[in-house]
Amino acid sequence: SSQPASAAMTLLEFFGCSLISFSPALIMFIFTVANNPLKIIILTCSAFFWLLSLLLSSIVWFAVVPLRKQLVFSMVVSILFQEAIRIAFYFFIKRAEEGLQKIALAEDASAEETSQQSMSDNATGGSGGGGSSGGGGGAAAASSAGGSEPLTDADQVTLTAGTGRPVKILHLHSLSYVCGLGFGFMAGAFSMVNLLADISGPGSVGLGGEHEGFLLVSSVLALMFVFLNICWTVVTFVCIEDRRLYFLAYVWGSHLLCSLLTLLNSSASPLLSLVPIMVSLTCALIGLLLSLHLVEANLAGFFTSLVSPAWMLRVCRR
Amino acid sequence: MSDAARAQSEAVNQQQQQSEAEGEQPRVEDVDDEEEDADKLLLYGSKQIIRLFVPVSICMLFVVSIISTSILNALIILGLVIVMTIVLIVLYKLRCYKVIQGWLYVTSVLILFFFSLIFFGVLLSTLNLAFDYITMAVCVWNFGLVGQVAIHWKGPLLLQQMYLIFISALMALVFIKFLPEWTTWVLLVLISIWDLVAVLCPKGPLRMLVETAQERNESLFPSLIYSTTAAYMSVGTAEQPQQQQQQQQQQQDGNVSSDLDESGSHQQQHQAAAQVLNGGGGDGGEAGVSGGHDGDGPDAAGAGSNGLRVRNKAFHDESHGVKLGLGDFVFYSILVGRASSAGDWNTTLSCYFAILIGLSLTLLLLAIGRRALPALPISITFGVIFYFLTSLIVSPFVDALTAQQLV
Repeated sequence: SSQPASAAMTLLEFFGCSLISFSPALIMFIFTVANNPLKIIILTCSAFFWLLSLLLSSIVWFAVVPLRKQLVFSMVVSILFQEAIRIAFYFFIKRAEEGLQKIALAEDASAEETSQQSMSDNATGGSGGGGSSGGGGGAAAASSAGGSEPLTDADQVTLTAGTGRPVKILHLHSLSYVCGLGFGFMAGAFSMVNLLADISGPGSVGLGGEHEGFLLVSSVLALMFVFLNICWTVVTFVCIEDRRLYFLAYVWGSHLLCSLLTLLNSSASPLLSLVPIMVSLTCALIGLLLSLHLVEANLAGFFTSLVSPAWMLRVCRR
Repeated sequence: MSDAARAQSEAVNQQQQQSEAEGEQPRVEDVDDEEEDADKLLLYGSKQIIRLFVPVSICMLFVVSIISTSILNALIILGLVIVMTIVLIVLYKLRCYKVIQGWLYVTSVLILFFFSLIFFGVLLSTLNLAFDYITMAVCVWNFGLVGQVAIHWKGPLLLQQMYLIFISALMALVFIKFLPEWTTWVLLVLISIWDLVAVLCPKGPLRMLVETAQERNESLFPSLIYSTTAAYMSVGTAEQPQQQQQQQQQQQDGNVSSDLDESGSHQQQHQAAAQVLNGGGGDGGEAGVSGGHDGDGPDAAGAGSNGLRVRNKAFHDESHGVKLGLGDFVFYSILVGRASSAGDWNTTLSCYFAILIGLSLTLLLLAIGRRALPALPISITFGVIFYFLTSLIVSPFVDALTAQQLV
């Protein structure tokens, strides 16, 4: 009968759109975050913080009743809250590092286990091996590989355990990358998940009478925003750390630009949606270069690591 | 308004008395006018108030009649939970290990065979697949038996964990299916309060359980707790297991969980095997279940294991793990399941992350506090708050944005 065929068609669309939106994030998660428990926790925390920012902005939307139809206002408010939460997360991470330090010292005083040592090894190993973490990869490529990180790097938190072995939590650059991944994933998820659920019903092209590229445009925009969030977060964190606050202008400017351009998405024609997509892509590329520059990564090394397997990198390093 | 009018009239009376006391002539006309005004105020004020009484009462009656049934339901379930927990504690104190063991075996049999049968039947009918009874009998028999062995005896850790997760999910599904919506929310709140009280108060049942187990130098309830690592020690000499046992018990200060199993007798029986098997049994949730869905399901989850325990120092690398009671699994799943049955995936996502964050916070507190902690309150609070906030405020906002493809 026709039922299996239509189910297959909608399932195809479901998987296609979800993979367009989320597969880069998933791959980045698998290769750089999944083997490090601390990074997974930071990811969850950052997703939760993004959720908080969404909550605050929707409370404002709900409260300001006359402007409910003017989505521009609520979008600008939402952007402001997202950036504020990004900066707040930076300070939260800083405080958490102090807290983690205290906990680690307290534990090390009584326990001999240094599982954190292996975690930090995984952190540097994982972020050095996979080339897709810009900040982490750059930092690892810049410094010496292996478990003993140079203690001169200002961003590192080093703890001296009771046994005298230095225990490192996480480098700020990889933290900011993970946080950006969390933000981006949540942003994409909230805009895509209901659409994806609706798609997998019987028959779905053009959900409410929109053009046929509706789902495709939404998925591509979600994908763009994942990358954009990563770049914005890395730039923000490094800016605040180094006190070079003028790069924040890039972050806020490009966020406003990309988000407000999505207003051009209309139900009439899919071609107009090319504008926000292309502009977001450009901003993402600029952001990538900027963040790599800010973390002082070796650009040639970074791009090489994107295309070469890990063993080749190890060989080159020797 | 009536109060003000009364105050005014009192003031007028006082003025009159004062002026009389001072021997002045009371100005009767003014006082009369003021009295008339006060009376009018009283009359109109009270009319307005009565006019407000009626709609407010209707509204409150409406809400209360909806909530009261759910509060009553939740209180009944909570009562069952408390009774089962107390029964379990009494049995443990009287060292009726065999009774507890038998109870747990029976409940896991019921879950693994009968509930699974019902579940697979429903699954097959949803997928519109045909299946004959004979094949079904063989499959369920094998499935259930392997589950029994994996949970109560020896088996690969992964298998045991999978069965524990399956059991918890099944219990949660039973709850979601048979409890009306508001009852679920009230029950979640009440259970987390009960968890808080039972684990932290000095006279709390679960705390007494923990202390009794410590006095007897037995490890706590391995069969009703999900553990992240196997305490599958390789068999050494007969002394080793006892040493390990004692060391671990000394290090487990005030550790949790509800349903104590007869791990004590277990270990006496399996000394050579040195099983400090943590996930020994899985019936945390179903400790009280004596079959049937409605009334008895709750006992299980409630009397079941709520709580967390950590083993920081370990004799063996492998027992560096955290244990979470199966009851916690069940209630988290109930919350997220109820959120998803509302139909909106945004709500489900936000409840999921809220629960994860609550769990991380609880684990953090555990690392700081080094004692048994209830795992339910923080996560359930976050989950419930986020459920209502998201479904009422965030979802309309996000839907409005997504409809216009704005990001």
